[in-house]
Amino acid sequence: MILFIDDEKRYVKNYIEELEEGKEGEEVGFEVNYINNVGNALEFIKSEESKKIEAIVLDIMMPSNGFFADDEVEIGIQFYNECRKHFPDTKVFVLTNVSREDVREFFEKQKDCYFDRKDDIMPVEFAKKVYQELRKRG
Amino acid sequence: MSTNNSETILDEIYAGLTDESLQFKGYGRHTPLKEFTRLVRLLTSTHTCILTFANLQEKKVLRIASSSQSREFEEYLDKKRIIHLNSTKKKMGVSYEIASKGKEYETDDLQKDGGGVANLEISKKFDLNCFFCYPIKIDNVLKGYLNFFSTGKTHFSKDQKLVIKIISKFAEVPIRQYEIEKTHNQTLKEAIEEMAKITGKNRRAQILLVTFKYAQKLLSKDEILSTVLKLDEKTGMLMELKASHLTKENIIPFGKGYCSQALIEETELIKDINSSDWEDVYIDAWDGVTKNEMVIPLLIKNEQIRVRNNVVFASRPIGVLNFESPNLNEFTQEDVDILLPLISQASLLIEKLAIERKLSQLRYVEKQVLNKQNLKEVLKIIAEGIKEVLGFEVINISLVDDSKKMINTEVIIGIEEEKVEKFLQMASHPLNSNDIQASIARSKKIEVPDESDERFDKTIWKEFGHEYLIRVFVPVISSLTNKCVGTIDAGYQIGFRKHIYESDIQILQGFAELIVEALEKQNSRIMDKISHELRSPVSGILGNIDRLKAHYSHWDDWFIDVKLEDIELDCEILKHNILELEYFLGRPFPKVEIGDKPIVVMKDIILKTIKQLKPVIEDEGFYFDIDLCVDKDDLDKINIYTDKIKLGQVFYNLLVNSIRYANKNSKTFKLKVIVDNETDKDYFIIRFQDWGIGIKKEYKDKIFDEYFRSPEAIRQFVSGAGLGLTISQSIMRNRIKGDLILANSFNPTEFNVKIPKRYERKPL
Repeated sequence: MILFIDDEKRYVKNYIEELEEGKEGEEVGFEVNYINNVGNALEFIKSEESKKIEAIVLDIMMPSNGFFADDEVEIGIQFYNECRKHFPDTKVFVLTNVSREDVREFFEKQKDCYFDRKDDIMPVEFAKKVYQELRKRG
Repeated sequence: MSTNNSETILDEIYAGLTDESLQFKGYGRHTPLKEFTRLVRLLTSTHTCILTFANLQEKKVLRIASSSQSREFEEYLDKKRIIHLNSTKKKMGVSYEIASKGKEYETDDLQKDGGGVANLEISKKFDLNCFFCYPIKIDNVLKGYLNFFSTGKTHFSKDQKLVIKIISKFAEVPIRQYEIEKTHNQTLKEAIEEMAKITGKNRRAQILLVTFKYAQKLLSKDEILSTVLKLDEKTGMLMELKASHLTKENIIPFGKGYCSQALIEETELIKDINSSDWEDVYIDAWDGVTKNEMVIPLLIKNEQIRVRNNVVFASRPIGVLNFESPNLNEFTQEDVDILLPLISQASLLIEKLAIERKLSQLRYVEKQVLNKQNLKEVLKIIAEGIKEVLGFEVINISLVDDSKKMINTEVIIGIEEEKVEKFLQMASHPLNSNDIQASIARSKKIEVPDESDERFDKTIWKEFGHEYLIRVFVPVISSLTNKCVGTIDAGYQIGFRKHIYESDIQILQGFAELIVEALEKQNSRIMDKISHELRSPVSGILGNIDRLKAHYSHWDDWFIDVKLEDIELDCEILKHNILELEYFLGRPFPKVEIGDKPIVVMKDIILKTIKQLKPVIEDEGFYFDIDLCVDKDDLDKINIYTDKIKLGQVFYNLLVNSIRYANKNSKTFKLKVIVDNETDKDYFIIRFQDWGIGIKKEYKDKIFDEYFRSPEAIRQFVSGAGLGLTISQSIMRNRIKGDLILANSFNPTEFNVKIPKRYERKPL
């Protein structure tokens, strides 16, 4: 299962649909669990169901829902750190519209973490990338 | 000076200057003074810093210490310390022509002809381009210079010069010590050494106590009453720190006693009590024993003060040394002359400590505002900081509103709480007006206007007691754009404080920088938001196109239509978001464009907007429940000639807000639109109602303010730069000539859009 966290479903539904549809040569796509806020996502990663998570797709600029500091860019980073406590080896695909260089640098330094801007990577290519990276793992 | 690194360097400088090892110990590689120049060089980010002692009578300059990024250049400077200024050969540093003027000097011609201060060959060898020197004056007498070389191609920056000006105060101390080292007064030397050893808390009081102790030694008179009193800067009272005998009065109010008079007159007083002209102010502190009294005010002489646009000199009072004798004619001018060097050094050290304290408090305020996001909160902390650090009583921080071409007070402290709201309403002026704030914003010059200045708003002036204040106006200038973005107006009552000191203005400029940083942070946050809001529909469009290209051959037609509609909607969203960007960048709204045909508001605008945004509502996971309280026949009723695009923008913003702040716990998105043709004879009122999270009472008056987003909105919903309602109200008021008001804040949240009925006829 891919945990997909983003507060604006409208702008990620193409990515979700592409991941769900499956690639040429693949019988089925991924099961995608879409969550639109960090509060529910936090609850989910602590739940039993989270054992099914193969990868996480994460937006950066999200509302805090009272869980983190109110700087919206920082929230994504704080949530990422929280995820890492539970899933140290899970691949995380950061998919965002945030253009700040310091944010990109932060994520590019992380292990098993991929940073892409939504206007740089299209749904078809993104889905391919997720397949490849997860397949690498075997 | 906002980096941690700078803070560490400043700490080191303070520590270095208060260290006992500070006394001048010769010119070598590791002397404390060399360390001083090294730290100043690092703090100012310059290539080389040289501290010199100027002896203009003998046309000589002595390099007391120097530090350079280039070891070779430093060694070159160390080799020959005495420079004869009448020599024709160009030396590295200030020339006689420059030195004798006693002013700051800069040149960027070192590579051309040495700029009149440098040997061309050496400049080329060490790649030196620019030179800046700042005079060190004590009692208005030139004592030396801080010289700087840089390898950069441009002049020294404003920030570098500000740091140099502040730091130059510290350079007075080693120069004075260097002078005293050359004198032969052992007691004075001991006093200076002891002062240099003072560390820890209450250093100002400790310095005064050492001064007191050595003043008694230097006078060596028996049977006299000696007292040292310090001036409380905020109340003007003189507080006794120590006395040789028990005294009756240890707190002297401003204006009372000889001690106060000496401070007011700024001169030493020697009086026989019987012959005193000031019997009415005399305070008997020694049970009638005193026959002769000598008061020496502790003054920082020749402090720079600001009068209107100009910098002139005046003294700054610190305290007094008071001596009383049972004998007539006990004290003479000779006694005063013996004590003056000691007092002068003590005053310098105290001033240095005051600057140190103020800088460190400024850095504390800097830390306080570092992580604060709310601009108003930041401005309040800064205003309180100015009050605390510099002792100003009334502080007004105003910001320029570029879109409305106004300057408005944002924060005022020092007036009665119940009058604040009234002041905020009154202190709002057009930028092109003659008001003092507007004038400072235009001229970008620091001013201490006199009370007769015609630019003061006399209504405010009288109502808020400004006639009793001396005030300084500091423009807040963005270093990025060089535009004035606001002003700081700070003042205190004229009394024992008669002047506004330049050293305090420099600290105020530090506060102004904090305001600029806060504004830039806010702008950067808003820019992040707007850029995010522009990128989102762009990536939506690109994502749809990407998938259409990959799959259209096997997708059903209806699904392709869905994707095309999505693209169309994202284009609309993009158009609206571009308007926000234009507003943020200060571009005025385009003029109203009225077509030839009347617009049917309900069909052409409201229903169209709802239809357009329906997919967004569905994407949010809501069922759609819309109630249009209007008869089918009435759909055509509001039939007006106006700007369709701009009115469309208003309804788009209202609907986007309703969607954004919808109650996420509800499965239904409920919206009601009522057309009211009856209530107002001049306006159609369109009542726009939703059942979202609502607006809390305390934010009702703020929702139309630029960039305002309630804490709940920030916590729960990321989108929005806080401009939608501002833009909508501005369109309705300034372009449509109607209004947009909040009629109800919760269950339902109701906005009323008022459209003038006169638009039923096409305007001429």
